[in-house]
Formats: sequence, C-alpha cells, structure tokens
Amino acid sequence: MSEQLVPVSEIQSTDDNVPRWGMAIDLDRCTGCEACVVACHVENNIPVATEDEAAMGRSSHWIRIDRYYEGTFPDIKVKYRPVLCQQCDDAPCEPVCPVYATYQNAEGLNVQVYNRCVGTRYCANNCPYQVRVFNWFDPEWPEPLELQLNPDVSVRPGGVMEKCTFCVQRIQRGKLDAQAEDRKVGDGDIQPACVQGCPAEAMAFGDLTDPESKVSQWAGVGRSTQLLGELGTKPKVFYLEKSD
Amino acid sequence: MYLRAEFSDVEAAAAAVQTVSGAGVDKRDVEVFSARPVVFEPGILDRPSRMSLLAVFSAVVVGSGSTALMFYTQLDYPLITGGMPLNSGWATGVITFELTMLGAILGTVGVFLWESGLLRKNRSPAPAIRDDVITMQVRCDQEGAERLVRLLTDSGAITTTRVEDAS
Amino acid sequence: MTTLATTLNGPHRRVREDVLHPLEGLSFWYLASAAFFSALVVWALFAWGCQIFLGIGVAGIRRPVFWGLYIVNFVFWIGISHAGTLISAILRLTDAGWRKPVTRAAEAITVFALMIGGMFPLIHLGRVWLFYWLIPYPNDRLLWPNFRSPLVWDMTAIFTYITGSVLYLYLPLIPDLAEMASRSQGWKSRVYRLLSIGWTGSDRQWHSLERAMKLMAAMILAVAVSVHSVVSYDFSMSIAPMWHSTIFAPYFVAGAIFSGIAALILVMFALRKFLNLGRYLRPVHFHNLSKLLLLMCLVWLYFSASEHLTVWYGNEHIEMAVFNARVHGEYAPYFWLMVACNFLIPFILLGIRRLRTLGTIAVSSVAVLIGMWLERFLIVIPTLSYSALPAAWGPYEASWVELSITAGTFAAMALFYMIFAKIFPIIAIWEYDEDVSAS
Repeated sequence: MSEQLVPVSEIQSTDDNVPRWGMAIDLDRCTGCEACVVACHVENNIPVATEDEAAMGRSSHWIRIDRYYEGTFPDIKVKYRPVLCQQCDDAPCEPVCPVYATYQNAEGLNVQVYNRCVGTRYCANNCPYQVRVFNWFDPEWPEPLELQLNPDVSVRPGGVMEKCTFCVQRIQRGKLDAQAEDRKVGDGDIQPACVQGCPAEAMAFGDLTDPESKVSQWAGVGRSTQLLGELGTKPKVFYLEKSD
Repeated sequence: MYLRAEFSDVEAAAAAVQTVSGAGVDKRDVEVFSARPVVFEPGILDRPSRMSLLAVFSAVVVGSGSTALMFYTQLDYPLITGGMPLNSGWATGVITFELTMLGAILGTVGVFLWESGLLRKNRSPAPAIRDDVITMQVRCDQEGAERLVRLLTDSGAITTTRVEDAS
Repeated sequence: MTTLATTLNGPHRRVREDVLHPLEGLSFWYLASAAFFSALVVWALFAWGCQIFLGIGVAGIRRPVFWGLYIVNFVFWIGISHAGTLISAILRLTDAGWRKPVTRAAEAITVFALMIGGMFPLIHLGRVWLFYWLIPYPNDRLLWPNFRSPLVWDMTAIFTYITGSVLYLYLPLIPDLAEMASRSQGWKSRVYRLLSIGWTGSDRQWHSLERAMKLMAAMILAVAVSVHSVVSYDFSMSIAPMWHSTIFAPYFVAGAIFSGIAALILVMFALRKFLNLGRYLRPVHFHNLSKLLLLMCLVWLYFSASEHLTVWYGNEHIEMAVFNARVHGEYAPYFWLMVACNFLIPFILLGIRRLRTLGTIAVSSVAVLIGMWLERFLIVIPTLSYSALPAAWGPYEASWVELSITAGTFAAMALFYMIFAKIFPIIAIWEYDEDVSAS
C-alpha cells in the first residue's frame, strides 16, 4: 500500500462551480460485512453470477471487499478493504480504449458508455485495481430478482465492460432536486448506494473541491492513503488506514 | 507500323538497340520483350523513372493527410480527456508513420502500374512471350522501314516481321 | 504444357517442368489432407459461432485474465508473418542469390499468417459485430475513434502490413502469371491472363518491376519492424507489471524474426518433400537459414535475459509476483520448456557443426515454434494473472472454444498454403531463370 498521498488540493478541477466527486473509506470502521456490495448490486442492476461462474472468476461486483490476512493461525488478523473504481484523475483505462467508451467527464468521473463499448477489454487489463467488470454473457437474474431492476440504470448487454459509476444516476438526481428547489447541492445530499448501505458509516462521499465537505475532511487526515498511489493514477478514493 | 526483330542473345539485342538509335530512332520507340529480365549495360536503353520521387510524394501526402484527419477528428468531437491533451502528437505518431509507409507503398505500386504501361489503354502491340528469343520492337513509318530492316538484320536479327497498327 | 518446354534448353526447361508439375492434377492424399484441414477449420468456425451467439463467456477468459489465448495466437501469428516479407526483403536488398527459390514461399507465409493473425483481435472482441467502430469514417454516432489507443495503432499497422505484403507477393508473381496463361488452356488461361494484368515482358515492365521491388523491399522492411513494435506496444503502453517495459519493441521484433525463420524452414521442408523440389530447395538453403536461426536464437537469449535480469535485480514487489510465477511458480514448467525450446535445443543442435543436419534443422525449427508460442503465452497470461493487487489475482484456463480456434488456425495455415501452392508456382520462375542465365 502506498504512503504517498496526492494532496486533495491537487485534484484537478476545470471550474470552481464544477464538483470533483470523491470518496473516503475509513478502514477502522469497516467490518467487512459486504452490505455495500449488496446495495451496489441492487442499485445498479448488476447480474448475479451462479456459484460455478463465481468460482471461475466471473462474479461481477462493482465494489468488492479485499481481504488480507496477517499472522498465522490462530493469531490471525484480517484486514478488509472495500475496493471500487478509484475514479483516477489520470486513469490508465481511458487512453487505451479505441472507441472512447471510457473517458473522464467534467466532474472527474471515469464514465463508461456501454453503447460505445466493443469489448476489447484493454481497459480492464490496464486497470491496476481490477475493478472493471465484463459482461461475459447477456445478463440474467434468478427469479424474482429481475422484477426489482432499477429503472434509472440501463441493463448492460453481453460483451461490454462496466464498472462503478459512483452511482451517477443518484448524482444526477441530487443535482436536479437541488436545481428544482433552487439551492446548491449540499454535502451529504448525494449518497451512492454503498455509502448509504454501510451500517458502520465507514464511507464518505462528496465534493473534493469543497474543503468543508466530509470527504475532504476525511481525506485530509494523517492516515489517509491512496491505493497504489505510487503508480501515479491520482485516485479520488482515499483510504483511512487502520490505526492499530 | 512496327518492326519486330528476334535475337538469340542479349549482346546482339543490345548492339541492335545502339545501331537503331544511332540511325536516328527515338529510344522511346524501341521496346525489348523477353521472358526474363534482360540486363543491358547502363546507357543502352535506360528508362527514366520518377518512381522514388513519386513514392516519397505519395508518402508525404497520405501521411500528412491522415495526421490532419486525426487532429481534425479530435477537434471535431472534443472529449474531456481528464488532463490529457486533446491532440497528442506522440501518441498519434505511430499512425502517422504507418500511413506514411502505406502512402509510399501504394505510390510505388501506382507508379509501377503507370510506368510499366500495364494500366494504359493505348498500348502498342506486343509479341507473345517467348522463352527462347529476345524480341525487339521498333515503331517506324513506312518509308524508313526498309532501312531499319537492313540495320536490324545486320545487327544479327534472326527474323524480322512487320506489324501494322491495330487502329 | 509441353509445347514450349521443348524449345527450351537445360535448366530453364527443367525448372518449368519441376515447378509447374505440382500444379497439375489432384492426388488422393492432397484431397484427403485438404479435407482434414478443412474439417478443423469448419470446427473452429463453429466454435467461433458458438462464442458469437452464446456470448464471449464460452471462452475461458475471466477476471483478471481478460486477454487469453486469442491474444497469444495473435502475437504468435503476426510473428510468423515476419518470415516472409522481412527475410525476403533482407535477402533481396542484400542481393543474396540463394534467396531466389525461397522468396515466394516466404512471402506467401507472410500473407496467410497475417490473414490468420489479423482475425484474432476480431475473434477476441466482446461485440465483434461492431468491430467497424474502430475505423475512422464519418458516422451517425458522431464519434471518431481514439487514435491514442494502441489498438487503433495496431489496426493501422496491420492494415498497412497486409496491404504491403499482398502487393509484395503479387508484383513478382505477375511475370509468372503471364507465363502460366500462355501455358494453360481454357478458363484457366483466361484467369491467369486476367491476373497477369496484361504483362508482355517488355523492358519497360521489367525495369519498373525491378525498381518497384527494390523500393518495396526497403519499405516492407520498415513496416515489418514497426508492425511488431506496435504489437508489443499493446502490452508495453499499459502499466501492468512486466508489460510496461522499454525492451518490448525490439524483443518482439527479434522474437518474430526468430519464429518466422523457423516457420519458413518447416514450410520449405514440406515443399521439398511433397512437391519434389529438392533440386531447388537444396541443403545450402536450409543450412543458410539455420545459421540465421542460430543467430536469432542468441539474440532472443540476449533480450530475454536482459528483460528478466532487470526485473529480478530491481526486485520491485509488483513485478516480482509475475517474475516468480514465471520462473519458479505456477508457470515455471512452461518457462523452462520455453528456454529449452528457444535456446538449448537450437543452440546445441545448430551450434555444434557436426550435429547440424537437415534432420536437426527440422527438429530445431519445430522446437523454436513451440518455444515462441510459449513465450507469447508467458508474456500475456502471468502478467494478467498476477496483477498489481494480490487480492485480485486469479488463474486462467482455456476452454474448448479457444483450443478449437487455435487448432483451426494452424489447419487454416496449412490449407491456405496447399491451395496457394496448387494455383501458383511456388518458386519464382523468372527469378530463377535470371539466376541461371547469370551464372
């Protein structure tokens, strides 16, 4: 894990009024319960892999809990780390896509345009975090899960790449709501499904350009790190390392 | 009309070319047919060619044209690239190189087809390809034919024939 | 076919008889092997059809190994394609006289290997029916391709290379096609006549042809080097461990020439045996090529050692995971088999003069082909399998679809070559003639 931290102030912003969405995850609070994984599946219409497929490495989670074990049995310590798309500022996945299916939008999100994707899977190879998920087949859900698909999120066909969007549909909804009520988007108005679902409140989401936001506060503390930050990808997800 | 003379070896054909051109026939009116490449000494029947020059020209045109297209396309639909430049000369250099080479290859083949006369419609008649003789064909008018036949026979032609224009 | 040959003397007559004889008739064994190879190709097409209709998931690729055998085969076949054009271009530029019976056989390998290799990026696509989205043309999606992507570089490089090498094969074929037209009757003659685009053998045409071939040889050389460099950029432009390496471009080009020479030697053995061309593909050709193979074997060792030594000495933990998997982990058997095939076997068999016979040259060539295929496998798979985050490590196992398609491409190569050798003289008659006349 990297100790080198890209200061929050270096997060690029094109315009003062345009937010840079980021996330901070406090590993001290994370219990590894995987509620975020389930919430993400429900929110984003992610297909459910069968047992065989999952054993083969075909499970598709936009957020996963990486487990690292320290020590030998029985003196064993487990470290959990929820890993989702790091929404890098200098994302390695972006320049390699031949059809611009993935690019960086104005708010700093690495957006994936499903309809443009032809499935070269180059982006996934070039993602050091391995957070990109490929649709090996057309999606299927065991009954009755297909009845609860989220109408705000498109269902992806087979052969395209997909990944965490920071719940871009919720960001959009939050901005529209604020606009309708003629106010600015407040800190905490927008919550991706994983943040909302976290029972330990280990995750914070918000605008990194706003120094008062919870995510900026969290990202600024001493034990804040970036995953594989030494690669120079400038991730916008910050991990607050375990303090013990 | 054309005169055709057949020679059994390269030296005789080369001598005939020199004799005929010494007698005032333009070398552009002389053609030598053979089943395998006939190598004359330089200066006997040189064929000036602009192949290298045109290949370079074609390379420059295709290479810079495709580079211009690449730059145009990125400006035509300016995506936000997250800190990367919209147009990257280094990153598109590979394509510039490849298409420059493609231009050179296509230019060479195009000039080959043109200079060899393979693509032209108005072509002079040609003898059937024969392995055993080298055939020389000279374009001339009716008056000069007699003299040329004599010159060719003196230079060692096995046979000489007259071929009328197709038109 | 005999009318003209009677007027020719000695070697000119004999080369026509020997080279043109295999073009006549279809033997039982020819048809049987063609049927066998066709069956394999049809089976591979069926497998590809399954993949298109059921989903790319029927292949064994999975997270994190998103690129599998398809890309291995892609790199391998593009490497094989360097047999021809590159070797024939080098020999043409240096005016090596012994090249003449070899060049066309080599150039044909290039064209077919490129056709096969060029298919793999398509086979590998998740949505192959949309492959044309990589092509820049004004479209109603209002979006142009991303020219920064090494995959688009690849596409242009391979397009240039295949265009160039088809023309490079075709130009010196024209005089022979004209000769074939005058030697055959009926529809065959008409087809050959059409393909010879009005070749009459005038000195202007010979002049232009020789000039064009000299220029093409120089250009194809540059293109061939650049193509395999661009193939290597697919890997080295990424930040994956042991892919992001500056040595990759020359390493890939050297490996491509290495495997290309091996493929050429094997094809020449086949031609010599099945088409009775022993008089033209003489031991001297095999010995000369085997010396080239030995040279490239050492070049390969040099690059391979440089690559692994720097990674090992640097001891960077992300890269060491891949290095360990290759050298003494999961992929170690493949790795050491590769070292044996690419270095030990050819070095001992070809390096010791007493051991260098036609038989050992054939054995070395087979070993090199196996070794180079393994090398491509070891470049593609372990890096993906052991990516930067240990938590995301995962294995790879090819499915029947990938294996069928892989087998099918080898069959396709054999099939294409059989058909080509049945239709066109596999030795450039006029070049050989020229050689005989000169000597």
